[in-house]
Amino acid sequence: VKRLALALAAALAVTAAPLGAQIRPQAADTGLTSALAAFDAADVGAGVAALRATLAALPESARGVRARAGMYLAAAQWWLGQPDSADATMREAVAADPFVRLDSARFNPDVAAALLRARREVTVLGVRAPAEDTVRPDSGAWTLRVAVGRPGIVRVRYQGAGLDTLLASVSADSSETLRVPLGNAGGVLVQPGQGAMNVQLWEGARQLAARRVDVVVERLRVDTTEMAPEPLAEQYRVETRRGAISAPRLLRGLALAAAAAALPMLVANSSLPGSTVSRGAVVLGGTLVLGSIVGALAGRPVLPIEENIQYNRLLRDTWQSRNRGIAADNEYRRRFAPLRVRATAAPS
Amino acid sequence: VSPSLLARRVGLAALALLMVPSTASAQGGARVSVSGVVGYAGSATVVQGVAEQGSGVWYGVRADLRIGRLAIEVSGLRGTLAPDDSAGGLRRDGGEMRGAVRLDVASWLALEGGYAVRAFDSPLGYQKWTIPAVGARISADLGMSGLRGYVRGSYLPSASSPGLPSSSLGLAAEAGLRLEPRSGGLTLGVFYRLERFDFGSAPDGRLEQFDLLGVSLGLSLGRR
Repeated sequence: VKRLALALAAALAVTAAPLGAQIRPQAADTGLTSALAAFDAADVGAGVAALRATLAALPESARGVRARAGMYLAAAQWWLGQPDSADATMREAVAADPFVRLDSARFNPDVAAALLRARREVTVLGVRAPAEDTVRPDSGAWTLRVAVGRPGIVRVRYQGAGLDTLLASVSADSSETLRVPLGNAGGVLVQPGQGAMNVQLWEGARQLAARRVDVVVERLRVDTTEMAPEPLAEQYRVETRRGAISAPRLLRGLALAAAAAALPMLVANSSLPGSTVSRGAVVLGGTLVLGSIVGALAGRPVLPIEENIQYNRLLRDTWQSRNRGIAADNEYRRRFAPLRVRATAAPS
Repeated sequence: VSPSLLARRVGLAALALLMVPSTASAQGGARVSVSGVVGYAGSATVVQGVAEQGSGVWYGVRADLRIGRLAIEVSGLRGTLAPDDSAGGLRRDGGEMRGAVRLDVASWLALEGGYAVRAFDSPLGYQKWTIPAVGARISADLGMSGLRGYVRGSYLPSASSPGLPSSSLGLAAEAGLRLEPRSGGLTLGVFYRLERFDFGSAPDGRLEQFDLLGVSLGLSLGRR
C-alpha cells in the first residue's frame, strides 16, 4: 500500500512537490485538507476514505469542492487500478462543476489524459456571469466565463426588448473567458431593459446544453460637453465701409433744388405782389438742397472690406466647426453611453 | 359746386383709390398711398390795377395710385384766404379738387395731364375755376432709399371761370420732396405749387396767382 501511495503521489506530481502541497491552497474544506494530508503521508487508503467521507458530507450545493474532491478521488481510483470507477467519479465531478480545472501540466500525462477523456464525455455547460458590470458598447465587452465537458461551440444570444441577437460565439474545449460585445461601430446591440443572455452549447447543428442569465440593462448617464458660445459681437470686425459721396448724384440733387427754387420764380408774374412766391420757392429749394446732401450722405455705396469678411468668416467657421465637433462627440457619447448589466439571478 | 361739396367729392375719390383691390399690389408694381395735406396758401390778384392779396391755411387729402409706369393722383383741399391787409379785401372760403394722370417716359421724366376745379365763396358771390393742365415732371433719386425730389412745369390752357374769358396765359410750377419707403409704410412730403393766370395784359387785364406751400403725411401700401 505504501508503494501504491508513493506511486500515486509520483503519478499526481510531476514536480517534487507533494500532492497536498499542490492543492492545499485551494482546499478550504477540512475533509479535503485531511485527505490531502493523508496522501502526503502516503496513506492512500486514508486519503480515499477521507475524500469519500468528504463527498458524502458535502451538500449538493458545494459543487466546487465536490468537483475537486471527485477529481482527486478519480485520480486515486485510476492508480488503484479502478479505471471504470475513476471514469465515473470524474464524470460526476465534471457534472457537479464544469469549471473544475484539470491541470494537465501538474498531473501525470496518463492520468491527465484519462481524466480529460472522461471529462469530454460529459455533456455539461457551466456559466459564470458577473453580478454587475459596466460596459462601454463601442469598445468594451461583457465578460462571461463558460466551461464545458464535451467540447463544442458556445454561443451567447441576447433576448430582450424585442431583440434576439447573437452577440458572441466561441469554440470551447474546457473553460473559456468569453467577451460579449454589447455594440459595434454601427450602434448598440443591447437595449436598456430586462432581458436574458442565453448561453448555448452547440455541436454542429445540434444544441447540447443551454443556460440562461437574466439581466437588467441600464444605460448610464453621460456627461456631455457644453456647446461653445458664439463669438461676441465685439469679436467680429466691421465688414463694410461707406464709399465716397456720389458727386453726380449730389450735383443732380442740387440742380433739382436750383430748378425748384427758380421755376416758380420764373413762372410767377412779376407784376403781382408775390413775396410768398419767393419764400415758398426758397423753402422748397432749401429743402431739396438739404435732401440732396442727406441723400448723398446716406446713399454712399457700402463697400465690403474683404480682409475683415475673411476674418469674420474664419471666426464663424472655427466656432461652427468646433460646435459641430462637440455635437458629434456628444452624440457619440449619448449613443454609446456605458451600459450597466446586472445579473438578476444566478445562471439557470 | 360749393367748397364743401368739392371736399366731399375729393374724399370719395380718395376712398375709391383706397378700395383698389389689394390684388393690384400683390401683382407687383402697384402701389397706393393716401396722405393728409396741410399747407399755407397764398393768392394775389390784380384787376385793373387794383391789387388784392390773401392767404390762409388749407388742408385736405391726397391719394396716389401707381401701376407700373402709370400714376394717378387725386387730391382735394379746402381752406380760407383771408386778406393780408386790414384795409380792404374779402375773406374767401375755397376748395379745390384735382386729378392728374402721369406716365413715366424715363426714370427721370414723366408726362402728365390733369384737370382741376377750384371754387371760392365770399360775401360777393361764388366763383368756380376749371383748370386743365398738361406738363412734364422731372424727378431724381436723391440717394437715400425712397427719397426723391421733383420739379413739375405745366401749361394751363384755357383756365376759365364763368363770367370771365378764358385765360390768355396759364402756367404752373411745382417742386417737391417725397420720402416714400420702397416697401411701403409712412410717407412724408413737402411741396410748393404756383399757378399763374393772365387774362389780357396790364393795366386793363386781370392777373391771378395762387400758390401753396404744403406738407403731407400718409401711408402707402404696395411695392415700387
